[in-house]
Amino acid sequence: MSAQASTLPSAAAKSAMVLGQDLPFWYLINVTLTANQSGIAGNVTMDNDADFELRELIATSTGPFQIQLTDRYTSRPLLPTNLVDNTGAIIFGVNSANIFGTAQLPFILPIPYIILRQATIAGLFKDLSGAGNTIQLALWGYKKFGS
Amino acid sequence: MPIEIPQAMGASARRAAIVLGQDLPVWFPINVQLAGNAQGVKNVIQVDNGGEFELRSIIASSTGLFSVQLFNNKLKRPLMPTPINGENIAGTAQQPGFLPVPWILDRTTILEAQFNDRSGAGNTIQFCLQGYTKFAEGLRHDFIPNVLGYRKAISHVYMPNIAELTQLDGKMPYWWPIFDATVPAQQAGRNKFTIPDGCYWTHIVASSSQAAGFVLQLYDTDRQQIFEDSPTTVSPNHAGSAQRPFWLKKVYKLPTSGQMQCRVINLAPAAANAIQVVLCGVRD
Repeated sequence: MSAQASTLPSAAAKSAMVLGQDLPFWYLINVTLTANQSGIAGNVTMDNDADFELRELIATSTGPFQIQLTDRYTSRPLLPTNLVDNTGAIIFGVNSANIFGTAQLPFILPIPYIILRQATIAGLFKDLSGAGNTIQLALWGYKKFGS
Repeated sequence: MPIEIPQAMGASARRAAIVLGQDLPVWFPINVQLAGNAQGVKNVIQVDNGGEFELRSIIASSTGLFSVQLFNNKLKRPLMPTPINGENIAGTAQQPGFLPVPWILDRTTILEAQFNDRSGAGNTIQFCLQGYTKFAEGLRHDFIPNVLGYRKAISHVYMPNIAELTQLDGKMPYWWPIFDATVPAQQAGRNKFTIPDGCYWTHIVASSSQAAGFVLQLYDTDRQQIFEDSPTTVSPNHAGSAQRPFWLKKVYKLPTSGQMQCRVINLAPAAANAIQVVLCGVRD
C-alpha cells in the first residue's frame, strides 16, 4: 500500500490513474417475447469511447428461451447455423440455461473476448416457455481504458 | 490466469486485426428428442472449416435424465467405454462440466453422440460443446486454465496445479465409469477396469438414484493401495457431479496394465439404488 501511495505524488496523477483504468461495465439487451414467438431481434452497440472486453454472460428471464448471438463486426455467429436435431428439425439456437448464468454464478469466458467500439452484438430470440417472456441479457466485462 | 489481450491498440487497422484474429467463443449444440427409454439415438456436430475447435466444457439441458456416449469420428475413438449419465458429464452455464485441459478438435472433425433415455418418458435434450474457435495462431498452444464459476479467482486452489495440467495438454479427455449398476437395498457391488498405458485421473463424479446415497472404496492393484481406511466414505464426501466435480489436487497416473477396483454399498434402507461412479481425466 505504501509503495503505491509513493507513486502518486499529485492529485493529477491519481486522477489520471483512476480515469485510465478499465471500467467494469454491463451492456444490456432487453426483449419481450409473446408466447412461442421466434426470430425477435435484440441488439446492443458498443459505446464509441472504448473497446469492450467481454468476460461473463448473465441473463434473467421469466421463462426459458433460445438465442442466436452474432458479432456483427466480424459477422461471426457464436454457434453454427445449419444444425438439425435427430428428427431433422432445424436448431434455432442455444438454450438460455446452456449459455447464461446469474450474477452469483455467471458463465465465465476463460479467454476474454474483445468487442470493438461501435461494434454491434446481435441476438435473435425464441420463446420456449409458451407464455410471455421478459428477458434481460447482460454482457459483462470491462471498457478498455487501460493502456 | 487468463492471458490478457494486448491493450495497446493504437491504430484501428491493428485493432481490427486483433479482434478478427482472436479466439471466438462458440457453442456447438447437439439436439435430440428421445422417446421414453429410447436407446442409442445418434446425432452429430461437425467442426467448422474456419478454425480448429478448442473444447473446454460440456453443458446440457434436458427434460429428463439421460446418458450419452461420445465418439470422435475423425480419430475413430470413443471418449468413454460405455455411456455416462448426463449429470456426470454435463453441467449448466452457471456451472459447466469442465474438461481438465482444453482439447483441440481439428477443423471438419465430426463428433458423434449416442443418447439413451433414463426418464421413461419423452426427453428433449440439448447437449452443448462449449469452447473457442481458434483464430489466434500465436495463442494456440498456450495453456489457459478454466475458471470454476463457484470458486472464481481461487479456482487454482481446488484444481491440480497449472504445471501438472500443462503436461496433460493435447491428450484426449476420457471418462471411466468404474461402477455403473443398480445395487439392492443395503447390498454391496463391485466392479473393476483394466487400464492401458497413458491414462491420467483428474477428478471424480458420481450419481445415485436414492437420496440416501452410497459409500465407496477404490483400490489400485498396481500399487496395492486402497484409497480409504474402511468402506464408510459416503458418496458426497468422495465424488461430486459434473457441475462441481471432486477435483484431485494432484493428477493421478492410473496404473499401467493394472486395475482400478471399486466397491460400493447402497445406503438406502429399503430401495435399490442406481449408482454410477466415474473417474474423469485424459488419456494418450
